[in-house]
Amino acid sequence: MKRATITVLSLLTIIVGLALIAIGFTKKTVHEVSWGFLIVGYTMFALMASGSTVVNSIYALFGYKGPKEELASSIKLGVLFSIAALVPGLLTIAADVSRPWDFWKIYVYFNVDSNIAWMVVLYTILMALLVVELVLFIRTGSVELTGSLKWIKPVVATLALITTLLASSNLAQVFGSLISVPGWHGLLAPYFITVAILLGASGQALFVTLTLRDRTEIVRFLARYYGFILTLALPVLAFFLFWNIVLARRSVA
Amino acid sequence: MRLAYLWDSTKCIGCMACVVACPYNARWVHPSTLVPEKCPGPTCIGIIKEGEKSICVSVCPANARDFGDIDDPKSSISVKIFRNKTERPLEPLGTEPKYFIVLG
Repeated sequence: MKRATITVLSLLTIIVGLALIAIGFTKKTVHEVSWGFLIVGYTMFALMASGSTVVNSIYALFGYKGPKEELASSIKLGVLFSIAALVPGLLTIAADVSRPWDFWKIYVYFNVDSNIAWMVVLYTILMALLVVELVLFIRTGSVELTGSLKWIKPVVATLALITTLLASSNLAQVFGSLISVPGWHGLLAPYFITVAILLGASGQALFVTLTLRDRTEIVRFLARYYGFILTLALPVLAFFLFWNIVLARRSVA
Repeated sequence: MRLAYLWDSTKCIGCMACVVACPYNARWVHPSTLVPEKCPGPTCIGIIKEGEKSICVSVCPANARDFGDIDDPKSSISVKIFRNKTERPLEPLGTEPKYFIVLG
């Protein structure tokens, strides 16, 4: 893709994103619920980053590289996508809270009972781990580290996977633990993790295949690879949705 | 046991989680400060401290609302609770609400 096309597309995306944040700013409360459009946007981006990190772990932790090591060529873009998805998430949540400049107080006056406090900490740790992981992949590529450094990549990948699963399931329970909204109340973690994998895999598929579109062999493999992940995740999501529909008939909401 | 509620405005980041989470819908966002408030708000607290009844009680044309000290058995609200069949909203949650609804 030409540099000019990328620049124009990036600028357009930023303008559309800022316009959506501006619209969301006026729709902070939907019906009687004080979490409006910006919270929806934040949840989508946070889950996209989480799911993208789960997808990255297929290579980074479990070692699947593809028949011709195609994933070795795309893993840096995958990790970059996880980081990039967290940035608009941070912007939307900053636009939603009334006092974003006081965010640091969550760390200083940390409330262990609060899902939101844990959400902030877990996504901060995830961001740090993803940056470390990206630096490692940029510095070493697909080369296996040896000696005393051999443990670094698998340890970082393991921590990233554990943190992302904790972060997305905790985010699910930010909503699921509320008895005030009966329609949300319950164990939402498996549902959110599945949605995260779908969002992460589909977002990564668009980003990585567009970036590598001149490398036909890799893109052909990636189309099958991401297609396979989505094919596995969609029936699981359908299963959870089926039970949501069944339970909604008995809900007091 | 006398329970109290405290909100430290210097720590609030305005995430509105408390507004969404309150099962009684008793919290709202102040239109200018954009931070959450709950009943009784600062205006009513000032009035109550002066020995008056809260605004919602004062404005009720049919005298359907009352407010007062339920620890005092002679207060008008204690007498009404004693004489009438009442219920409290969402009692099974165990939050011990001090809001009574007269059933008749």
